[in-house]
Amino acid sequence: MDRVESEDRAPLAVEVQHEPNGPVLRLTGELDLSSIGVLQEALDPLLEGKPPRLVFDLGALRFMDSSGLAEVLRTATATSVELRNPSKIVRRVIELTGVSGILPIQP
Amino acid sequence: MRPLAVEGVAPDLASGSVRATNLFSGTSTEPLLRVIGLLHRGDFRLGYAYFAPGSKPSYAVYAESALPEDRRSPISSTSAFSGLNYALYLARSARSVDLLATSSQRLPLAGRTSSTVVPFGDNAFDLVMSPKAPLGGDLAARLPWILAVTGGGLSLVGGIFTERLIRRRRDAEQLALRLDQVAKENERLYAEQRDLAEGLQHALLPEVLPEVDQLEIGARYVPGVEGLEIGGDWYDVIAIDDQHTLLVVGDVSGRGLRAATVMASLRYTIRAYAAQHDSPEVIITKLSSLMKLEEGDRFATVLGILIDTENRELVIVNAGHLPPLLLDDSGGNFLTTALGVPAGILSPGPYSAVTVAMPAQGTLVAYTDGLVERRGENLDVGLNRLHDVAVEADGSLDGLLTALVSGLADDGNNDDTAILAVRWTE
Repeated sequence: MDRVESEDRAPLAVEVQHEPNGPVLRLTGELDLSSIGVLQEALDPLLEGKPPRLVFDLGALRFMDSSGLAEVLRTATATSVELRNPSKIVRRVIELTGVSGILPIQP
Repeated sequence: MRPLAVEGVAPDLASGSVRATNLFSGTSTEPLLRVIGLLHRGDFRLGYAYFAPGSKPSYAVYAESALPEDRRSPISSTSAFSGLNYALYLARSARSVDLLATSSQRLPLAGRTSSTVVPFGDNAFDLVMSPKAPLGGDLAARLPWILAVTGGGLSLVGGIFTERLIRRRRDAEQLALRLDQVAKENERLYAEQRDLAEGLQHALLPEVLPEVDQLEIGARYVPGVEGLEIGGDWYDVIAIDDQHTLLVVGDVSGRGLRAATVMASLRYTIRAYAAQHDSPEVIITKLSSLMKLEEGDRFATVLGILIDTENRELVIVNAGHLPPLLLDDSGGNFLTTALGVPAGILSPGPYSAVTVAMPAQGTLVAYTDGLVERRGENLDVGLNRLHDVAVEADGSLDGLLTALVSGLADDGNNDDTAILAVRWTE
């Protein structure tokens, strides 16, 4: 049995743009347990540069589960994190875990 | 019996020896992690084997873990536990012949000792600890730490051994792949690795829920379909005194042995704080500060529900967890809690409790997100589905739990699920 299924089922794309006060990660697709590695690979080198701020643009993210949120929170221990444009589905996860109270969300 | 493949240094256990032949003497049809025992030919090693039952010819993956030199492994003086001596034994014996590792020059440990047994395969580890100096007045303050390291440390030990075994199996399996006749076994082995993960998880969850006067309590744990790794979901029921019982449901972020270890240590830590009669909000606040310190990038959602059987009330504290469902004659409602952030996060605000009356015919259901979270779906849809299944499933508590598992948790769900339900007996 070949163990590539997690990659087959990782419909997540991460696009990085550099703004003056830190990187912006634009996430497209679904962020969950099976695709979390894709985000980690993009994040780790960025965090090594110790940016003062990091933005997650969630406008094109269709779905995020609690493991995805945990990765966002892990990032927030290293730098100041801002969330942009979460869809209704994604926003609900952020609200139901109380995280909306501690991370800035635009709009 | 003959070896199929050998990886790494040659094992101490000779393939023709009595001990090796005895490996296959059992009649078990269950996948089994069997501890062979301590081997001493030069260095000390712990031998253990994982069996693939029912396969013809039957075979086992056998591994040995080297123990620290002379079985002495001191605790670093900068560690939070530098004031403690420990001795780790195999089996429930504390005999010197079964010693695996110790920080002390003299055994058995003298003075006031505490010991904990954690199951490992068909055997168990016994960790005995004692303070190096009298603990004096701050014993109470240190007890939670002792319990946390006892529980967490031990499950880590179990985890490390198991992880090595899994790695060995993977290596052996790669070699075996080249042998056509064994390739077919491969798929079955994945299922067995999953059983092993499940077995370890079950070892970390309460074996039997305590009997509490006036309360009927039930729980279920369902591993996700991608259950090759252990999850960090847990539940616990802690009878504090005649009037108070604490229910806990939680979920540590991430998967694998690390998540399971954090989970085990949180479980024991909560038990320790509860034993010194801390209120639920104090317990969660302390837990959060402790996690922030110890775990760095791990978080846990935790729901603590203190049941007051005299006043028939629930005192609920919520650290980022999904709301519990209260069922009664008129239907079901998700309880509104004072939602705090997950434990272990940034700067945790103070957690606060809400008190809810538990109606005579009421049933409370607490769960982890695996029960309701589905890909590409709004969480509210999942919460509504849970509500509908729970309301439909009238009858016994067991019937309710079974309906929840078969209706919600068993549908090809990726994530682990823990469910805890409680109602009055009268």
